[in-house]
Amino acid sequence: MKENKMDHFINKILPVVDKFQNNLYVSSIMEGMMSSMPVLMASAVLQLIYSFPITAWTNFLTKTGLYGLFGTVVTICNMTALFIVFGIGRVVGNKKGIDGLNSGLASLLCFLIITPLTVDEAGGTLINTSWFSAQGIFTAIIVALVASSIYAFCVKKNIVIKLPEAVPGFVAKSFAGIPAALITVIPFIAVRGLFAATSYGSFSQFIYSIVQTPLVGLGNSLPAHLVAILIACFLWWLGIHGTLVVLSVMMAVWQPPMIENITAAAAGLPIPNVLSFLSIFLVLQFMGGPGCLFGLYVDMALFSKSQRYKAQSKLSLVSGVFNIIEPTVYGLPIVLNPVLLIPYLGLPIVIYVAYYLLATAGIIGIPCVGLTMMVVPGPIAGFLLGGGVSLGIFTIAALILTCLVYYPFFKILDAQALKQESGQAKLAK
Amino acid sequence: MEGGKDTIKKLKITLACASGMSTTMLCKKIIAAAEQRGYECECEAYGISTLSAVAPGSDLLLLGPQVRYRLEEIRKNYPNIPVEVINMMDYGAMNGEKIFSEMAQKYGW
Repeated sequence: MKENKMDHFINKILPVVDKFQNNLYVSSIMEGMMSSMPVLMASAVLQLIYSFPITAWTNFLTKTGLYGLFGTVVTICNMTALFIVFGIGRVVGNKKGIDGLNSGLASLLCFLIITPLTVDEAGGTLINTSWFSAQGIFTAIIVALVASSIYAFCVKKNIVIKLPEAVPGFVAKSFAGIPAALITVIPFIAVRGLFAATSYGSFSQFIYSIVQTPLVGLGNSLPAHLVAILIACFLWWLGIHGTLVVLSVMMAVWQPPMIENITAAAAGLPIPNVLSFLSIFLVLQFMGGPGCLFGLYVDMALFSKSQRYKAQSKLSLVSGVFNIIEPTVYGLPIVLNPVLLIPYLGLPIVIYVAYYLLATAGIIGIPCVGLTMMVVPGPIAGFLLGGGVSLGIFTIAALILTCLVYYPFFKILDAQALKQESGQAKLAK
Repeated sequence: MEGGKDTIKKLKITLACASGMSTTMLCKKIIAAAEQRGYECECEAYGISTLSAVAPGSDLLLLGPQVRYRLEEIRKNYPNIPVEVINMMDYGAMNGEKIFSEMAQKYGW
């Protein structure tokens, strides 16, 4: 009866999750933003090299000029708006069944068209690259969604220049795309012209002030982060990929503060945002995966008395150290496991609040290296995120806490399994 | 399946989860289970968003239970390929043997 009710509940939730996460535009935003991650990983590696805390090493880098060079490359890698606009434009195109490369390029073109330009005294054209970085991310998202949709519409409606059949195929093909690109670009030229006449000066500035700043302010707050963590873990407890669902919606809001942190670190400035995608990633991913499961893997490996959990530990431990939780979520299982619900939801919240308080007080460092590779084991990731040794120690302390908190709950499960096994053994006799 | 008439029985099974990471662990076990039954099995795991490039030509699409809410959509996208969600317990236990034997029975391989 209880099982049936639960099934009923889950079956009600599935379509809601689907609608949320699988909306063409919502999923395109996330997938497009994810496609900029390899670039950020490249910058993270450079950051790690040039910020390695050994004086002789940094002296060497400064003397040879490599320090400045690496810093510049990191800044360039963080012009994420450029990568995002292409990434989203491409994904939308692909999903609408046209060639994604073309819609991606059309989106990039439109983004450049609305980006403010200035002309210096010598007549050279200058673009303030902060519009390509954190400040430009929302503009990039909006432009990519609109431009690629218009472009895809034109291509699908077959608004193309048709040349006589005598014209060779490749010539006809290169003419065919012209109307779609033109129709896509025209509204953005108009937008550029219109916003130049307003007090904002540009569309990019308008979006930054009216949309991005308030939305990031709202969505990058501690309550919003906590609610997001709760939803992600609760969905995992129901057996649904909660991280994916939450990120689809929040990625756009959490990425700008992350980029601000990375660029501030590259410029040697104080790190501005305690909360960002990186702080979420630290707690929701690097601590053994959603639910901070690290402690459960360790407890299971060390203290299992029942055959059931000894066997499960073999599956869970190795994958779990690399933050892959599926064997544990479905095998242990965590799904619909009433004993584990409290620590599974509670631990990430407690650890996140502790991080927030300590980082705000300046006791531990703030993550500022774009390390978003989910399989880096927690004890290492804490030290690599750019928050210094203090953040590394915090991470290890948090991981030890997970071992302690999961222990009594695991003992309950293990005792239940043991009882069941001895019961079966008696029956067999 | 069409493969049944050929001398070498070939199968292509495509797995999908969020990023293609955890299902990768299952692929080897499914391949082993298939080879035991005399099949030459091609089995790879992908992120669900990249399916369109790799799914065509598959004899079976298997979704990880964590993305099972996308089942209807995937079925609609590939009307000619059977799509199934992997059972949670078998997925957790990485029981490729059981997953394969159930599918083999269901689809008469």
